[in-house]
Amino acid sequence: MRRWIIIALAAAAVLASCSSTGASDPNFPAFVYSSSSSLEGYRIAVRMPEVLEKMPCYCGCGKTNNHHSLKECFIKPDGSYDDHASGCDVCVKEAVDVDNWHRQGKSLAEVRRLLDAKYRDYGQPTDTAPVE
Amino acid sequence: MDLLRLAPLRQFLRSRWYPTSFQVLTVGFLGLLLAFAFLGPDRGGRNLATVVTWTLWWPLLPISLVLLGRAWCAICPLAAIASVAQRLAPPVRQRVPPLVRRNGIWVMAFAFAGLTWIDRVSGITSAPRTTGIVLSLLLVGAVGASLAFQRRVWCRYLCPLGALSGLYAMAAPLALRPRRAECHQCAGKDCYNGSARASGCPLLEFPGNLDSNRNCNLCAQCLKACPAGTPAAPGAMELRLRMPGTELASLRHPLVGEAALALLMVALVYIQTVDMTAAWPQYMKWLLESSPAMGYALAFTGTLALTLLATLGTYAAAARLARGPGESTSQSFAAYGYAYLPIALAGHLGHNLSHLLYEGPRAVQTTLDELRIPLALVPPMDEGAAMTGINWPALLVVSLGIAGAVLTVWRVAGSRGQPLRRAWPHLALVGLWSLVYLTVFLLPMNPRHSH
Repeated sequence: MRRWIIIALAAAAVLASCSSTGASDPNFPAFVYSSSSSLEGYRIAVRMPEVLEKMPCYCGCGKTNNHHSLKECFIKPDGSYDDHASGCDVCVKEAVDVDNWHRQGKSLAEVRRLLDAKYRDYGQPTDTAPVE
Repeated sequence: MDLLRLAPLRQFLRSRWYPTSFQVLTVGFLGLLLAFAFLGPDRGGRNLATVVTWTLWWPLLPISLVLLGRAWCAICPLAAIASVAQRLAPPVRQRVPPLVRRNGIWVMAFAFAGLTWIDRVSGITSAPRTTGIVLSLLLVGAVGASLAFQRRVWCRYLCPLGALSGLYAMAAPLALRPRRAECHQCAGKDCYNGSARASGCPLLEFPGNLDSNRNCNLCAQCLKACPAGTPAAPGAMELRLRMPGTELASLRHPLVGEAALALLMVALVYIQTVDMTAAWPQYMKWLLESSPAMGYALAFTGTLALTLLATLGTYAAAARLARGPGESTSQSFAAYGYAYLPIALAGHLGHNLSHLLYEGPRAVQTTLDELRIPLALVPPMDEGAAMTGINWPALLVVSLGIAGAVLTVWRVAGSRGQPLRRAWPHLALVGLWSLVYLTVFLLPMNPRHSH
């Protein structure tokens, strides 16, 4: 029995370490919590909106939702949250990639180039201005 | 009614074309899916592998199981490849280890729960590469088991879908059964041992004693091997058409593991459905804001584990209360568990019906697009948008499942010579689950693939 308790505690510790904590989360609306990846995406958007603003989104939302950058998939121009990214894997995957490349110390121009190269086959990008 | 009296069907099932012709198709398709999974676009809603596997095949599987029993297992590409590998490799004599034989049902039950967990934590259904890895791992497992052991040990004791398939197949209207008088006179038992005509039952059953669909995949090896069968005579087996669900209340050997799996399925289908509704993010927001240090994966894992434990715990309590005179709790546990299966099955069908009706047409279009077939059948849709309104077909299926569960409780009590009032804990628990299911199925669901 004791062995099972230890295994359960170890599994809980691994799971806890796998998922970042929400101790500093702002008061997100409920739709943000639809999945683990959605929550991660909105956390990134809140942490680095000025970076996502410079990145295009390739999910097709430029046409369907009139978005102009990846930031608008998460945060509307008026500052409220957009529920679009909570149901869109592409937006979340792009945000995670941007976050990873940014953490690796790449410049905005490099991040943009990498994003364009990886997602250009996905569809029409938003009309985000090029990074100078 | 014995369908084997229909000569064309009997001749087809006894021919070498069955199930080989279907297996060739499914193996080819599996190859295509694996190629797309690893080489196609890394976008769930646009990749043939994720769309076909999770939006078409996954919802169609329970429908196929409930209509045709385990016939899918006869044409499953994994098993077909494993059988070829077994034939090509040096002969193996390894029997099934008792540990696997005794605990196979639990391995399969928890493997299926594990698949649900992995999907919800890592999002397999929208990840083509992960889908490819899961399919490859299942293939490696099936081939590995076929090289190490006799026959199809993987399908019977280890496949994560095996126990579920066996359980759902019990509710099917098709059942292959022996004519016992003829079988008991047979000395060779070729249907089990095999002969020059055909190999024996791949699922290690003796067809002459077959009384359940749980381990029959309708592969027709027994029809081919039976010495009494000729092109003009049906042999000692019958392919019966029966009322769906009758087997659940008349099992000669109810198993504790299967009863537990039926209850686990009730809980898993509930979790799989509720976490695609708008109620789920509200619950997770409350949970994660109440315990910020927990993290999403742990919150989901805890919720899943507690739901499974609470389901088994309440069922065990009901089984204890509903014991007959001189009966053990485990006997009561084993007998009544099958009565909950119609709820899980109907919930599973209803859940997948929602996906099929909403996303199926788009999935077919994606398949045509990916195969470069210039045919525009379905206009583009906002794949990320939630389904709106009540899905009446799904609700109807769930209601029928509830009626089936109540009927099965009544029939199980009757088959055990107990008055229905002794089964009141089960009727109360079925009532509780009915309320839960009806409430959840009244909520709009999110699609399986977002864009």
